Amino acid sequence: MATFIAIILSAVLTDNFITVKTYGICPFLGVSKKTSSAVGMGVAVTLVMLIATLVTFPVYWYVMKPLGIDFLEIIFFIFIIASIVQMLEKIIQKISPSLYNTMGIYLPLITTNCAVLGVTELFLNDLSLPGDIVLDSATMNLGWAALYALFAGIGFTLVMVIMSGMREKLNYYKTPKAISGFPIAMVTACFICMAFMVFKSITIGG
Amino acid sequence: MTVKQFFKSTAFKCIAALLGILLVCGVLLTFAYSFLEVSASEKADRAVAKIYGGIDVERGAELIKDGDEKPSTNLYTILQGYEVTYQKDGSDVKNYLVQSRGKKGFSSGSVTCWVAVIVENGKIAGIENVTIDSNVNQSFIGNITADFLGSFGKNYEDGIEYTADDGFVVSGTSMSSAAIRNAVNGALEYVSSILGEANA
Amino acid sequence: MNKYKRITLDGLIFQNPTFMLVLGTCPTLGLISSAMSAAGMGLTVVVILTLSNILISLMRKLIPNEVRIPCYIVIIATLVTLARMFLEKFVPDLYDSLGGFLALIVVNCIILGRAEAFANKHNVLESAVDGLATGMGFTCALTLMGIICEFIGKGSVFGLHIMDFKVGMFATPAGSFLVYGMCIALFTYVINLFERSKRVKANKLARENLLREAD
Repeated sequence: MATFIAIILSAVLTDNFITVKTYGICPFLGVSKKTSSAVGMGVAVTLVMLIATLVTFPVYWYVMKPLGIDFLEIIFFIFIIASIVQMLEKIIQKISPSLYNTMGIYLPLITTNCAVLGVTELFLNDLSLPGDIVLDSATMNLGWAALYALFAGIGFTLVMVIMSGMREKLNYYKTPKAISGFPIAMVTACFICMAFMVFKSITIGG
Repeated sequence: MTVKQFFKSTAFKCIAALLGILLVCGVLLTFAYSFLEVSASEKADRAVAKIYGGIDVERGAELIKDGDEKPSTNLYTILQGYEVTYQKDGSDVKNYLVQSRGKKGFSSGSVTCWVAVIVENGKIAGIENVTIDSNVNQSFIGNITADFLGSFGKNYEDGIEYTADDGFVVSGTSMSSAAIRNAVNGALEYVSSILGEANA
Repeated sequence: MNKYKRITLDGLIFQNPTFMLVLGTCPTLGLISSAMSAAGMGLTVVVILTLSNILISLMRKLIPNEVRIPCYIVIIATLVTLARMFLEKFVPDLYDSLGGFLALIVVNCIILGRAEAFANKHNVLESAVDGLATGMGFTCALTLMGIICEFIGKGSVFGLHIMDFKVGMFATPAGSFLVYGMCIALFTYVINLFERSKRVKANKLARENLLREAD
């Protein structure tokens, strides 16, 4: 139970992908102008993160590691992610065109999203979570990895939505020409990061 | 679709091109890996060169053999240890060189350090130096200075456990240095457990 | 010759990947807290980008159009893995300070972006020059921000101690965001000034020509 809570807190708050690790900044800045698109992107990223982890985790630990080809991890992982994204796009397009219109259009952008490759690389090493809980090679399993990936995606979506809300409000204010656009978005992001720093003081138990 | 048509179709061309490139890249990388692989003993040699400079040092056998359980807590894991001896002012100085992974660093990561522990008369007498071997996810490791790593040796006291002086840890660098502290504490504990066994 | 000069200027200034296009932001924000690792990241990207541009330009006739993106990604991933092995063997300190961002060069939008927008349409030499110029633009931007961030955050530049003060916030992602945003603002401001002065000069020339013709 403690591990469960620690994983959720770590993935969403203390080690948030955008504000702490600075992974996945390109979609964070590029697709956060409107809340609806931010939600679509966030959900798409969460889905791909979860599926990618479910595939790469067993491939790495049960195939590549025993065969001694773990140095090929980047090439395998990116290939798996690219294929998952392509397949998902086709499947969603077939099953539900309305879902495709809200979410599917962001899928092609996800292949080059650091957050997805970052989350699959995360489980190759020990993870020390808040509350002195360590997931190492003995305690790590597919379930925990999938949970971490899911909540990492949720944390990503959370920050995307906060950012898009602030940027929608920013549209009502007049900013100098040089500052409008990316610079003011980055200053906003700076304040979100500062707010998220507080979560580093989270402890569980004792 | 007949077999002949399939071999002329775009689908076949695509599959062939992708698999061909994958195969060529895989083989190339496997060759490169056999040349560029960094073995564990090479890492130890690098640490020796960094810590002892140009001094002629004799490195003993590995203390943790393959298949042995690695001493580990939720703050550190000892990966490897070596006995190291060198000549200083005509007499032998004995050190333990310990590869220790400190946990609880920045963004759930860890820092792996080499800690050279000086041993005199069967007791820990100090820390020669600390160097960083590798890290996981520590984006701010570039801000760790040699002064900080040297401070462990300078401030050594008997039975000390290094703790952070700032209560509320904010910046990434201070999280990384917390992981390094854990690694050094772990190395000291490991060496004292070895010495305890030897004395008993 | 003029063509290469334009490609170089585009890569360095007018289409600077960091300041003008705002691409490859993840390693930028992650590593500018230290000038040394920022410069190291930049130089690694220069090498990988130039090589990937050359390779993709060479193979642009061989790769079927439908699967070009997966093929480019595999080529880039191979180069990144090679670079990682090479750095671990010969430059372990840099390998260490780049950490996880080294593997993430694969998904750096700059490299795939240049492959898609430039290298698969141009010949080898042009692609190589473009890779070099864009990479150098990235490196210069990263090093500049690294120097600013490290000086405010630690009072040192390239690890060289200069002043005894530090603002801890600049050694966190928040500080990186702030410095990056301000640098973009400054850069666009200077470019706008430059372009306005060029326009003013052109207008003035046109008016003088008109007046002369009127005479």
